[in-house]
This record gives sequence, structure tokens and C-alpha cells, in this order.
Amino acid sequence: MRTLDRRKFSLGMMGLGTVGLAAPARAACLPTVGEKPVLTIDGKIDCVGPDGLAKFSLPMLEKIGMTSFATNTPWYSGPMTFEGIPMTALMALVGAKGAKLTAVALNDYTTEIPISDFAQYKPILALKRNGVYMPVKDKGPLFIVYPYDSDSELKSQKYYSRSAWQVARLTVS
Amino acid sequence: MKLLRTFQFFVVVLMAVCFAGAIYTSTLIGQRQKLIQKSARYNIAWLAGQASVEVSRLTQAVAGFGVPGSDISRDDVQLKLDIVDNRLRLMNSGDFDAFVKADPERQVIVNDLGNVLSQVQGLLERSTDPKLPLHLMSMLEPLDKRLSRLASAANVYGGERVDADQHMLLELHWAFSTMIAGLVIGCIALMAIMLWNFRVLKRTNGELQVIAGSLEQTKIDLETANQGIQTANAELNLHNQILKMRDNEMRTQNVRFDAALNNMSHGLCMAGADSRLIVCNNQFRQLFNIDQETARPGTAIAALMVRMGVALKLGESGTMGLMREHDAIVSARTPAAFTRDCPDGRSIAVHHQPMVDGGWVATYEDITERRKAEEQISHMAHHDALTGLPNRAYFLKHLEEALAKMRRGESNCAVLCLDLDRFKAVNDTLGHPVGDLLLKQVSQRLQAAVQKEDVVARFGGDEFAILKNCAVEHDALAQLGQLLVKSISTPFMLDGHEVSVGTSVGIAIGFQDGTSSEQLLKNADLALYHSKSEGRGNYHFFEARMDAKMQARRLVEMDLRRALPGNELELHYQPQVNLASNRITGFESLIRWRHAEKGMISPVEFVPIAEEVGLIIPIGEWVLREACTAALNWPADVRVAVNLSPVQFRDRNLVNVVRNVLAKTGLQARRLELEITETALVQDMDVTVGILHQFRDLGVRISLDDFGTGYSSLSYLRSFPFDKIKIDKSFVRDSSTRPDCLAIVKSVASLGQSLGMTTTAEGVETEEQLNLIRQMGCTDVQGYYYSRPLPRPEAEALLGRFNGHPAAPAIVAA
Repeated sequence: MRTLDRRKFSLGMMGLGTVGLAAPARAACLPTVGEKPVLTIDGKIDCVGPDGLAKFSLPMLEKIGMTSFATNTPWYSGPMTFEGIPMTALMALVGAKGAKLTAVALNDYTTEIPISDFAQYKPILALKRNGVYMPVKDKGPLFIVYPYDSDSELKSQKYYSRSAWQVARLTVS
Repeated sequence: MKLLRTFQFFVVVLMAVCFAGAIYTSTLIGQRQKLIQKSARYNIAWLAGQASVEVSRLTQAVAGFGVPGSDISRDDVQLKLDIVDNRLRLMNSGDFDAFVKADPERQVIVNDLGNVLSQVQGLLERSTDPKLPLHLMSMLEPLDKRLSRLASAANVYGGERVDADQHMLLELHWAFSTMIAGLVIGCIALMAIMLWNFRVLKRTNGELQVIAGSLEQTKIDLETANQGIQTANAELNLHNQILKMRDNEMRTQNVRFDAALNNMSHGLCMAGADSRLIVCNNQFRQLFNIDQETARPGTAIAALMVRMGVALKLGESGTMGLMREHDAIVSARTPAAFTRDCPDGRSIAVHHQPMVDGGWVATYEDITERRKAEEQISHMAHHDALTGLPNRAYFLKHLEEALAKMRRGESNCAVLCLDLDRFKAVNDTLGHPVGDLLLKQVSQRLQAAVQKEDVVARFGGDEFAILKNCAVEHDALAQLGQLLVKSISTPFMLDGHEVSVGTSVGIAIGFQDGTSSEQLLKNADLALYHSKSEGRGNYHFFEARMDAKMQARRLVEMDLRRALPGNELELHYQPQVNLASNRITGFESLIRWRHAEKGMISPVEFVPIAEEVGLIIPIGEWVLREACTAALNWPADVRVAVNLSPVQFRDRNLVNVVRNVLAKTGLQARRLELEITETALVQDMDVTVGILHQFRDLGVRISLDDFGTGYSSLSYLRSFPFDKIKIDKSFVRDSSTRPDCLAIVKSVASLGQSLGMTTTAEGVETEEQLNLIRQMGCTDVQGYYYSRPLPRPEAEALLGRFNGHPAAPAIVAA
């Protein structure tokens, strides 16, 4: 069910994207007035605002389409359910044209993720943990989470490193 | 074997160990892998370092916040605090927590950090103190150092962990290597064991081969032996079969022997040299009435002899005699065969055969019946079956004996041959059973006529012969002949029929009429023939001339046989004149024989012979044809008369012959006249009359010839409606001299008139006779007065002349 939703959403998003291309696309990328942006995306993207950046607030991100999965993590004991937007959807929305995504956290932790990972492993940009929005104190507001349980390969330092929490900025290159 | 087992066990154990080792190693590696991952996954040093950095940043933020005119807001500070908070959370979990708890000092640091942070949080939220930032900074500042120390400790810790891991890895490496080594060793050991096994196997194989080889050999030996046994077996079987067969044969033979022995018609008795019975059969026992118990094998022969004596009714002395005889035969040791006629009426034939081993075997046959049969056969061979009289062969034997006596001068003999007159008639009319009865009675009468010493024999048919051994004188024989004739001519009563026959006898006296049996018999036979030719019912003695007569007769017969095909026979015709019309009304055909050498032979000479030998039949037929053919030439009112012999009436074909001749010649039946004598009627009257009726049906005329000469002429007239009566010439001849003859002629003529029959007087020679005949009333005449029988041309000429000149009868021929 979830996959189906995701697919629909992707298609929908792609459609929206194309429509967005035909119509002024910038409208979807701009944060609505009054909402504080939590994520900034720059780099080789199509959808940019006036300052050449794509800014998203939480509700905007939520509108893209939420998905969730449960997985074990090295940071928590026991499986946790993370809810967020699929990275592929996000990339599609902004029209990312690069191969590499650099994620910078609030504490200036930086990690590089190949965009091919998103399609391959389907990580999400998690907003909620166990149904609760993550505060900064607890790796919020945005946490790139891989479904570690789905593939044993993910249970390695490589992917743990890529799982940046307190994500503030994404750069496509 | 046991060694092998242990080795196998070792091998198995080794393999199990290796397997276990491998599994253990795998699990170890797995564990290590997990562990490495775990440790690799979380860099404690980094965490500690970052914690320090983030705290520094917080401190900076706080400082900045305190500086007037900076753009760092409370929120920024809060953010940084949150980040540190997060870091603290991380420090309180997982491996870091373990690291921290490892040392209390570290725990203190972490705890302090936590406290400080919460204080800061509280203050940040609530306080509006302008000196807050300074306060906060003073709280946070000591942390920096302590966190660095923590980071260093973490670094060391990390290093130790890596070392430990490396060590573990090395250990693992060794363990693994050992395992591998162990496995390799195990493999080698296995291989060694296998090689050893192989060697053992090879050796075993070698041994097995040897064994196999020896087994092979044994197998071959066994096979040979088997074959040998089989052959032996087969032989045994064969022998067995042969023995069985022999046994069976023996059994069969025994059975057969038994069967043969007990189904013999003869009694058999076999004894050994010890005079004890070996075997005897049923027949023997039956013959001498000896029971099975007494006749057991091993019984003394003497005992059997006693029983035989009893059975044969020999009596005591007879039995003694028998035993003595028997002993003599046995001790003589030669084969013996004899017949003993016993007092009990039986005749026993005995064959005694001595055997090589000292014993003997004898067969006994009751030949009583055979004797009787032989006697009977002998009797039958010598006697006639029907009458019981001696037969020809036996008669001859007696004759020979008698002639022998005659030659010795002891006594003379005579032979009488006789046969029955008219026997065939009796047989034909009354049948053979009656004929047989007649013969029997005749034989009785013959036997009655002679003496005991004389022999009466039947030669067959109706021929008999008598051998006289006594009273052989001429007169006595003449008397006997007379007696015989008289006796046989006396009527016989046969089965209710009264039969009259006669006999003719021929007598030949021994020595004067013949010295050998053939001669005597032949002469007696000739005498008999003479008697027969002399009218039968008489006896005659042999006379030399009879022989000659016989010969002459034979010659005539032979010539006569040639006469017909030789055209020596011819018909002469004597006219019969009708008194009223004085015309020739018919010719009587008379047969004549012109013998090539002897000239004309009168029918009186040859007709009887012809009748006797049966030649009369073809001659008669020829006569008929000739006569009919001749008559065709004559005018229609002239008949031809043919004489029929009584012998011809015995021919069943007679009517057909006449019919055929008439048909062939085409002569009208009423122009043919058949003349028969009374003699013909006497013999077989019914048959003859029947034939006459058939002639009548054809249309032929019938004349009764030689009327008045037979027995009962008048009754013959009654028997058949004749057309003509021919009065015998004797009456005509004597008519002039004897008035009784004349009277007879007259009465016959008138009889004929009354009956509507023509009467012809035969043998008219003189005119006187003619006139007398005419006076008496006869219708026709025949005789020399008119003509003697003429050959056809002359007869026809006479016919022409006579009938041409009805008024002038004339004697033409002389």
C-alpha cells in the first residue's frame, strides 16, 4: 500500500513537475508566507526561488507526500517507525539534475550521498519518529534515514555516516 | 578386519571434527563480523570530539548572544543547545554509554554535562537577566576541558578496542588456520587411510583373485566331476531303464507264459530230476481231476500218478502199471509219444520230452473227440452223405480186395451198375427233397436185395453199384437183376406222393468180364447202357459186342456233331393228302443225314443219340427253320409239319425258338404244324401242355403223332385241343387183316370228327389200305402209296404235279 502510494505520488509529483514546468514552477518551491523554512536546497535544480534557492517549510514538505517505514537503528534500541518524504520524490520535485547530494547538518556535519542511493535504497527525509515530530534535541527536524533492516549492506558505517540528522541544507551537484 | 573398522571409525571422527571445526569457525567469523560492524559503526572518539565542538559552539553562541548588537538570537542559542542535547542523548546510549560507565570519572563528566545543559535550558527559557549569557558561559566553560579529556579517553579507548579487535582477529586467524591445518591433516590422514585401505584391498583383491582362481579351478573340477557324475547317472539311468524293461518284459513274459500255459488246449506237466513237480497247468489238473492243492510245485510225481490213476479208472493194478511205464519212459531219457485208451472211455495222447537238466516235460491231450471226429471223417470219406452207402472210392477199394481174392483164387465177384429211370422227372416235378427221399428208400431196397457180404454203393446222382461177393453165378445174378428191377419199379411212398420209377441194370462178372476194377466197372457200365437203350427197366449181362456197340455209338455221336455245321443234314418231305379234295395239304418234314462216307443214315440211328447228347436242340431249331423256309415257296394252302422230340420240350426256350423262326422266315403260323408224340406228354405233362397252349397262342397247329401206341392216348386227347390226330402206321398196316384194328381206326376217325380234329392215317401203302382208310372216315392220309419222303426239289415238283392234276393221284416215286 505504501509503495503504491509512493508511486502514485511520484507520478503525481512528476506530473505536477511537468505542469509546474509549463506553468510557472516557482510557485511550488517557494515557502508560503508565515511558515518558517526548515530546509534549503540549492545546486543543480530547476525549482528555485528568487534568491536562487529552494526553501521548504515543514508543511510544504509534508504536502509532497509522506511515507513511513520501521527499522532498527544504531542510535535507538528496538525498531523505530520513521515518517517522512521519499528522497526520490524530493529530488524529482526540485528537478535535481546532479549525481551527488551533499547534506549539511545544523552542527555543520557534512556528508555526501550519491543520488543513485535514493532510487536504490529508498531512504526518506524523516520528519517524525514514531508519529512525533523530531525536535532538534532528538535529531530533528529532518533526519535522512535509510531502511537499514531492508538491506544488510545498509548496516555499515558507510550508510550510517550518510544518515545525517539535523539536516539543514541539501546541495545537488 | 577390526583394524579396518577402527580406522574407519577414526576417519569418521576426524571428518566430524573437521566439520564441527568448520562450523565453529564460521560462527566465530560471523560473530567477529558483527562485532567489528558494531564497533566500526560507532566511533566513540568522534562522538566525544563532536560533543566538545558542539559545546564550544554553544558557548560561542551564548557569548555572541551576550554581545550587544549581535544577530544571534535566543533561538539560535536554543538551537545550539538542542544540538548539544542531542549529542548528550547519543552519549548516554550504546557503546559510548558503555565506555562512559567503564570509568566513573567519565560518568561524572557526562552527568555534569547533563546537569549543566538542563540548567542552561531552564535559564534560557525563563531568564531575562541581561547577564544571563555571562552566567551561562561560566557554566559552560569548565565543560570544555573535561570534554577534551573525555575525547582523549575515548580515543585511547577506541585504540584499545581496535587492538583488542585486532588481537581477536589474529586469534581467529590462528584458530581458522588451525582448523584449516587440521582439515588438511585430516584429509591427508583420510588419504593415508584410504591408501592403506587400498593396499589392504589390493592385497585382499590379490588373495581374492587367488581364491577366485582356485575357485575357478574348483569350479572346473566340479563341473568335470558333475559331468562325470551325470554320465554315470545317465548310465545308471540307462541301466535302470534296461533293468526295468527287462523286469517288465520278464513280467510280461511271465504273464504271457502263464496265459499260454493255462490257455493251452493240452495239459502240461513239468518235473525236475528229483521227480518233483515244477509246474503244471489248469488243463492238466482238469484232465486228471487233480485239485490245486495236490498239484503244488514240489509235489512228488508219484502222488500225481495216483490221482491220474483214479481219474482214468485204472484201478490199483492199472495205476501200478502206469507208474512202472512212466518210470521206464523217464529213465529212458528219450522223447516218447503214445496214445492211451482209458477204461473211462477217454483217449489221451501223451508227448513226453526229457529236459537237459534231468527233468522232463509232458503234454497230455484228450483226443477222444478227435478220434471220434477222425472216425467220422473217415466214414464220410468213404460213404455217401445222403444214403449212408459207401461211395465210389470206397466201393473201388472193396472191389480191389475182392479182385485180389479172385486172383488168389479164393472167390469170385461181380459188379452190377444200375441207375434209376425217370429219376430226373421226379426231381423236377416233386422237388429235390422228395428226390432225396427217393434215393434213400432206393438204397434201402437195394440193400435189402443183397447179402451182408455184398457192398451196395451210390456213385452219385441216381447211379448205384453193387459188388457181389457171393452167389456170383450167372443164374443167381440174373435172378438178382430181375429182383432189382421188380423191387425198384414198385411204387414208393414219398412224403405223401406215390412215385414210380424204374431201374436199368448192367451186370459184369469178375474174371470173365474183367480182371481189373476199371475194366469190370466199365463193362458193367456198358451193360447198363445197353439195358437203357433196350428200353430200360431191365437187366443185361455184359457182352463183348456191347463194347463195340458203345464205340460205334460214340462215333456216330461225334459225326453227328459235325453233321449240322457240315451241312450233312437235310430235310425230306412226305406229302399228306386230303382224301376229300385229293390234294396235298401238307408235307411232313423228316430229317435225313447224308454222311460223307457212310451215306444216308436213318434217323432211327441218330435221333436217339442226338436226343441223349442234347444235339436235338440245335438240330430241331435248324429243322424248323428249314421247314418254314421251304414252306414259303409253297402255295398258301400247303402246310409243313415238323416233328418235335420230347427232349425239345424240356428246353424252356422252345416257344421262343418257334416264335423267332416264324418271325424270321415270315411264315404264317397256321401253316406250321408241330407233331408231338405221346411220349412227350408223358414226361412233365403240365409243362408240355403249357407249351402247347403257347404254340396255340402263336397260331401254330398241333398234331398228336403215333396215336394209339402210348398208354392212355385218349386221356392225352383230353389234355389238349389238338388240331390233328395221326393214327400210327401199325394200325393202318394191320387194318386189312385185323378187324379190331380197323374198328379202332374207325372209332378214332369218328372221334376226331366229333372233336373237330383232322385225322391222318400214317403208313398207307396199298390202295386197299387207302380205300379202307377212306371208308373209316379219316380225313388225310400219308404213306408210300403217295410218296416216300422226298428231297425238297422233288417234293415241290410232286406238289406241282399233284395239285395241278387233282383228279389223277399217281405214285410217282418209288
